[in-house]
Amino acid sequence: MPLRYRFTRALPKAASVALVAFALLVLFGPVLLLALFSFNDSAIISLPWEGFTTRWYSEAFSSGEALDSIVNSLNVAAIVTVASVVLGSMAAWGLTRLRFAGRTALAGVHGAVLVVPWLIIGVGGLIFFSQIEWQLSLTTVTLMQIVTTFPLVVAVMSAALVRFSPSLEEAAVDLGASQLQMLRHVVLPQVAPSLAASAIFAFAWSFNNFEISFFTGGFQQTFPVWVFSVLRHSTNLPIVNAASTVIAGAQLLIVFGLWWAMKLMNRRGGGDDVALAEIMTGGMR
Amino acid sequence: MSERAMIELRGLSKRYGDALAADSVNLDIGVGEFFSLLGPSGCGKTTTLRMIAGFEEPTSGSVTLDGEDVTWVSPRRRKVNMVFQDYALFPHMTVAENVAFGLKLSKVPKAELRERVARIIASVRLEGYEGRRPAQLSGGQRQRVALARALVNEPAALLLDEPLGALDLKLRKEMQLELKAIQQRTGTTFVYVTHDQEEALTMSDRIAVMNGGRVEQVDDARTVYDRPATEFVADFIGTSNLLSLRVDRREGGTVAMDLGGGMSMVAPDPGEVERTTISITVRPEKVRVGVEPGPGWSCLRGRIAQNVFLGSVTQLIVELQTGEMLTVHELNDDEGATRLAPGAVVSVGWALAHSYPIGQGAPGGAVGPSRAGQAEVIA
Repeated sequence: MPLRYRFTRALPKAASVALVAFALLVLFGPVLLLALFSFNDSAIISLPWEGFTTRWYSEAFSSGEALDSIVNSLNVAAIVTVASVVLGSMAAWGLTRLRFAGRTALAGVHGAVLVVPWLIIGVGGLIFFSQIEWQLSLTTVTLMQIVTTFPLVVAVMSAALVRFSPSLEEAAVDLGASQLQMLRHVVLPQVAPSLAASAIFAFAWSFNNFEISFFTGGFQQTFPVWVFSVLRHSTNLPIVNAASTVIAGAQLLIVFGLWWAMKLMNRRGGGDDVALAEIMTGGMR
Repeated sequence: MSERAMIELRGLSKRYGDALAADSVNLDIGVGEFFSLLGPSGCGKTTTLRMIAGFEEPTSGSVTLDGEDVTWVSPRRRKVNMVFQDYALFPHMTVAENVAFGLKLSKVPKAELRERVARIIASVRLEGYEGRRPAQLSGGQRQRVALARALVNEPAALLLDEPLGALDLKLRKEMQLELKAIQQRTGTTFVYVTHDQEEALTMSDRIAVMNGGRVEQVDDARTVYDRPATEFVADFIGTSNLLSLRVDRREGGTVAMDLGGGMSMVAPDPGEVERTTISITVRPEKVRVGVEPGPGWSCLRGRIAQNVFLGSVTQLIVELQTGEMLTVHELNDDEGATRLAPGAVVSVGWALAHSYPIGQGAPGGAVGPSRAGQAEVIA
């Protein structure tokens, strides 16, 4: 083949690789840079390199506040994840399987929560809780986060249940399954990857949420709120940097672990990788 | 087929809003019968099947299964099993697990379960595939798993909802014969829904032709084909010519339309003296080209409008002297038919017995022949 043709054929592929590389660089470059500077023996994030140190890490985790905030965030995220997955799956089942007046309107309300800025929801929560004279605490944070997170689960699970052929359910009942047996033996194994995806998203949303936690939180801080509060003094920057690096690393490990688990479940369920990609993007549609 | 009915439908209707999906359907399906519900899409055949299975609740009427009224019984408690159009195999289970699903739920002892699963898998010729998942099977194999999964429960009747629709033509033909063989081997009552008239004719003991929610005719394949009860049935089953015959003469149990020059169209007298025009159907393969006028024969002049080679037959569209179009199938056993070019003037004819008058317009006319046919078959 003449060289010219080979070149024009390779061009689209090369261009797309370059584009993706650029996008990744813009997305993760600064993050990696910060992680790198968390080992720099200087309070200012800039070159020249002053020498390798782990003192920011020991400082970060010797302050009780940082550790407390992480524990708080983990607790909140755990409750929010469980509550959202349970509530969201139930809502998705109702919205996709039952026929009732106002069904589309109700589905729309769930979707609307996903597009309202968290800032507004946070301020709304603050006004609401002060109106009913509830003490702001981790409880109020958890409640508000459930409100904003479970519609995400509804979106992911609805996509899964719509893809799920109703004739599979009918076949199970036809072969003598009760509703519970049908859910247990037929529906659950099929939607397990979507449940795992919902859990990943719900956990990440809760853990990373700043706005709602900031406005509806009391004296006990979640991790993002703690970061915000200590960043007011620029000398704390390397400490935040170190703590964030640890958190980001841990999250990366958890998400990758769950991703592999989902892949395994999906294979067991007889699905292919395309189906898995659809599950992961289900919430985005 | 026996005289006892496995499934009895009485005045079964289903209304969706303003539309009647099924309109007082009355059917008796015999024990061990291969019974087809045939009709175009939207004719109510699937709705009727789903009411037998219990997935749709009838608006009125009743479903009796093996002598027991099951109209309001949940589908999980009915002794019928269904083969779905998309097979509805559980993708996360192997072939063996799919087949064993029903037996496991009804707590059949392990040894018996294994034995029955193995036996049914052998009878649908799927040995060696027990450990595969549905995604690793071909369309025909999935079809057989769906069949095995239903049959292993030894249902009183097997309900099949267009089970061959997703297969290609060659496989469909093979599966038709195989289905029929399995049905005869197991002696299970099959209720088969299809829109494919050829499929219904190939496999069924009896066929119910449905249109607009109503049953138009219930008869065996031969009768439905040769003696359609209504114009709809004549038109839907196979290619058929619907001709209108003006009654000029009545003599010796026949009616005749004189067309001049010795040409005439004759049909058996339907016996309704007041009618001056009757509709008759003529099957394309019964028509001969180049016949001479003679007693007991319809003979008309026509001009070839179209000549299409269909493989084993040549299809001729002939414009008759009455202005009507007649489809003729000539067997390609010699070169004769293919030489008839468009524009050629020919004479066409068919024997008296092949003019079949349709009970049109007369009160109860549509039902008459079908009832008679049904009684004949059951007796």
